[in-house]
Amino acid sequence: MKKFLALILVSAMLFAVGCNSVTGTSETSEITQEPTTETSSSETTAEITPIDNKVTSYPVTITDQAGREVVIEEEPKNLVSGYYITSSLFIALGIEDRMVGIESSPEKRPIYALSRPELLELPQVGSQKKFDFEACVALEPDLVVLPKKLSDVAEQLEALGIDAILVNPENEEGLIETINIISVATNSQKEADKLLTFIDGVKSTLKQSLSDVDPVSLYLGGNSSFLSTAASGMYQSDMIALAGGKNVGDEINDTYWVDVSYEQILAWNPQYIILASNAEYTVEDILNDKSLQLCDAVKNGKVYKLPSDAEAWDSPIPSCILGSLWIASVLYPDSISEEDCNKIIEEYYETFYGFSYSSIKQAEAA
Amino acid sequence: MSNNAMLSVKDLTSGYGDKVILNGISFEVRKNEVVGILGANGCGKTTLINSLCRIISSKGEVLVDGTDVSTWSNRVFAQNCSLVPQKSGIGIDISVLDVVLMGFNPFLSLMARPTKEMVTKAEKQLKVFALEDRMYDNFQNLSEGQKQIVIICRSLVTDTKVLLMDEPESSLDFAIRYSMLDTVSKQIKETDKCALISLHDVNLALRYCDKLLLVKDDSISSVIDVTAEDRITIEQKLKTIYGDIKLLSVPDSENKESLIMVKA
Amino acid sequence: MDSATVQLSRQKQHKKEILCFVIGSVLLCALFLISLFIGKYPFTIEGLLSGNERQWLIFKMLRLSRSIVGVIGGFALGVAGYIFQTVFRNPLASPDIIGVASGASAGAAFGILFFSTSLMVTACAFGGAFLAVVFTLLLASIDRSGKNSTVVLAGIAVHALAQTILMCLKLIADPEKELASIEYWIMGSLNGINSNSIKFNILLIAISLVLLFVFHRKAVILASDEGEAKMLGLNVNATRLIVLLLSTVAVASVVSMAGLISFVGLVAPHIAKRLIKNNSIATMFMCGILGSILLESADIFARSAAQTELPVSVFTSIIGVPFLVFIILKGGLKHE
Repeated sequence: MKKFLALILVSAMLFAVGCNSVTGTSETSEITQEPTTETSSSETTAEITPIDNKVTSYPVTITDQAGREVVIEEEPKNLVSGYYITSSLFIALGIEDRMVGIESSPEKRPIYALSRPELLELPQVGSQKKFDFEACVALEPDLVVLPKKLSDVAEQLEALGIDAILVNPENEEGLIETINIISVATNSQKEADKLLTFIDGVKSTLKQSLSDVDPVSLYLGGNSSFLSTAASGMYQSDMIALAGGKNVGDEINDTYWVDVSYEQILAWNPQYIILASNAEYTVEDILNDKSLQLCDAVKNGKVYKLPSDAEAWDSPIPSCILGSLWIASVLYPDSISEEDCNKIIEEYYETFYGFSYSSIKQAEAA
Repeated sequence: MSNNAMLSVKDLTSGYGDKVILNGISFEVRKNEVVGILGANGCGKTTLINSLCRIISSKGEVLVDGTDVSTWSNRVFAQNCSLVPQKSGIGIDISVLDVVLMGFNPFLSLMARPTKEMVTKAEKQLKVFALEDRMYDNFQNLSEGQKQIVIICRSLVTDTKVLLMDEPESSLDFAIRYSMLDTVSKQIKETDKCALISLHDVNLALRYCDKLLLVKDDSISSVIDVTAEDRITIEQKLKTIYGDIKLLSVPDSENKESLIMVKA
Repeated sequence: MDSATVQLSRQKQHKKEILCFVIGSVLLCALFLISLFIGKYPFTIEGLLSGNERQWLIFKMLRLSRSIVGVIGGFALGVAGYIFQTVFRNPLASPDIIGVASGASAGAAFGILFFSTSLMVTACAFGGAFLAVVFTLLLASIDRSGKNSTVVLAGIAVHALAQTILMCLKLIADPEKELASIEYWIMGSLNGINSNSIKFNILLIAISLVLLFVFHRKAVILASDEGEAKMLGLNVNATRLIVLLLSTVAVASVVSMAGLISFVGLVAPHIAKRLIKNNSIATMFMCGILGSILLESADIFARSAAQTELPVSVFTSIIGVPFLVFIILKGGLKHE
């Protein structure tokens, strides 16, 4: 009987270890890629100082975020984005008018309707889960940008002579790399510099304002369930760190949402609870949750939900820095006032997306 | 009509869908009487038993001990009539004793469990058929014949007035057929019961039944009174169903005359 | 064999069965106690004994409720599994296969997609389970031949139908949010349980279990042919409906608290039948105890094997399968 029990224990442990190691290795292999381009081979860190005459000279060789080398012969005119992150980036880079195809269900993301409603009319080429290869090819694109998960689709497109770039913006570093690769490939480096300069500006503002605050503990409630949270390897964890908070989920080593129990949350006893932008539950649900009445954040009413009016800032999209900014303004209103926060958000969307963020808030209020 | 008729059937018509299998059948079974139903395969023996048990719907009048059964609930009906199907459908692990105790179900309320007295009765009934040492065994581990005997015990253990059996001998081997029917007919005679048994084996029927109903072409073609009629009359009647046969009279071990049917 | 030897072997068997009950109950109590002290919140015995209010509240609200649901939920799944196998006369009939569980999951998925409040998800799970059973019985009643296999076939058809509905719902679900919720729900977990959300469900389970034990004798008669059962004085259709609905209430109550927990309802009765022979009410009780043991131990692993919460169904299978194989092998060797 002892042997038997031991067997169960071992198999259970193997299972658990197996789960962790698989996700762990995939994580490390992805961020080792350095983008190298002909024109800006040494410029991966040059985004701080904008150079006015940055122009891509074709043909250009690009190493995408899956490590594939792609040679682009001339400036691509017809673009397809199979990923909401790059679609949003195309708008920020001002190249959305070249788009001929977009990922599926764009109507679920308010940014398109707010910024470029015409994108909603574009043919859809499917999602990460189910890519519509034929629909994509039918659009005769010059360049297709896809998430790294769709690497087999990229190979197929390449075989048909259509350039495809795989991106993997799974954290801030990856996002900046994505911006660089796309801007070189599409000859929009000036706009990219502007965007990166803005992001860096917000970042240094945050660093300066938060230099002398005591980090407060924070629990991030996941999209699908409050009992799932961001583990240490996730983008959301960096976002919280940048906002000067301490993500209690950092204790868990994983790269995706992980399931936890009420007990675990109470053991962590966070001072703040922030809910993901697309959380299926509300702040009221959490404040009324009987199991959480003893949690400091709930006791003190410190439960907030990340806005989702324009975009979900808790995903590695170009505007993700605004997520850190917004959380910082919630955690440390004395260091970063709500007013300053709103001003920066307003400026961001006015500059890169051409609409007023405050007016949609007002429209909502009305 | 005699007043001690336990089961009387008047003008029974039955069938499946539009197909009439039995048309206007009437007969009766008296107290302590064992009545056999004979007929070729597919003539409606099982249909007759199932119609009486209200498993398939039928038209006509059925009286049990003088009372019309049409208004009875399943429970009351089961308190008066019990059935031995051709083959029991019990498909779970259950002890032999528990199967026999199922017979008491119509007499028990929802919450009640079988009483000590009922258990003793069940044990006794199993003893009659020499199955008492299998009492706590799994019903599923018995041979088909033994299972059949257990089901017969289940229907005999209570005070139901009418016993309906549908070819109970089909899964029993030669020797057990005789001892089984011998025991059943004795118990029918000793208690105030009656039995209606559809049978395959004519010799068995001739030996243990008091009366035989011959079913042919959706009705009862003739009735044999085994105890009163002579060999030639019975032979003539059986010929209408079984064709070219002969009835022989042989003495059994107690030197009593016994009839057997052979192919001519 | 004379009657004395029969009685003797009966007593021996009886002793063995009592031993099984004692071992089972002791094991269950031990698991219950262990489960009270395994989990993410750092309770200390001193803290609890000295009446640390925070520790006590959390202990009562979360830890104790979760352990209780493990025991009662497992018991209900085991007993319901036994009832399904008996009434359908099919050793493979279990809430997982007959459509009750898949009806409940399709209902829950519907709730997640269209209502999203946890109360509605629970209500939809209930509704789905009931619809599945009612639909199964309706489908079976079309066939007038009274074969019991029709009910199993109908159950399997309804199961397939519910699976298709579930698939369609998953197809239209948002992969980021709703799909993840549905998947998580289908995998089952005792994670979200707290003392406030379970009282009603526990009450429902308790009532239906008591009634199932009351109906036990009738349920066993349902395990024979329809005509045979009728001639044993049973109102077959009504009894079948009542017994199946009671089991469904029990299963749906568990499912709405903890999501789909696979395998317990299937494997507990099979193990119980091999431990307790031919004594149906004792077997039924043993099914419950084994179901509790299985679920409670699986949940202990689910909450402690990794840093995060793991789906409990993974462990019900990991623990259940070897145990079943062990019992079968032991039985097989004995026969040789």
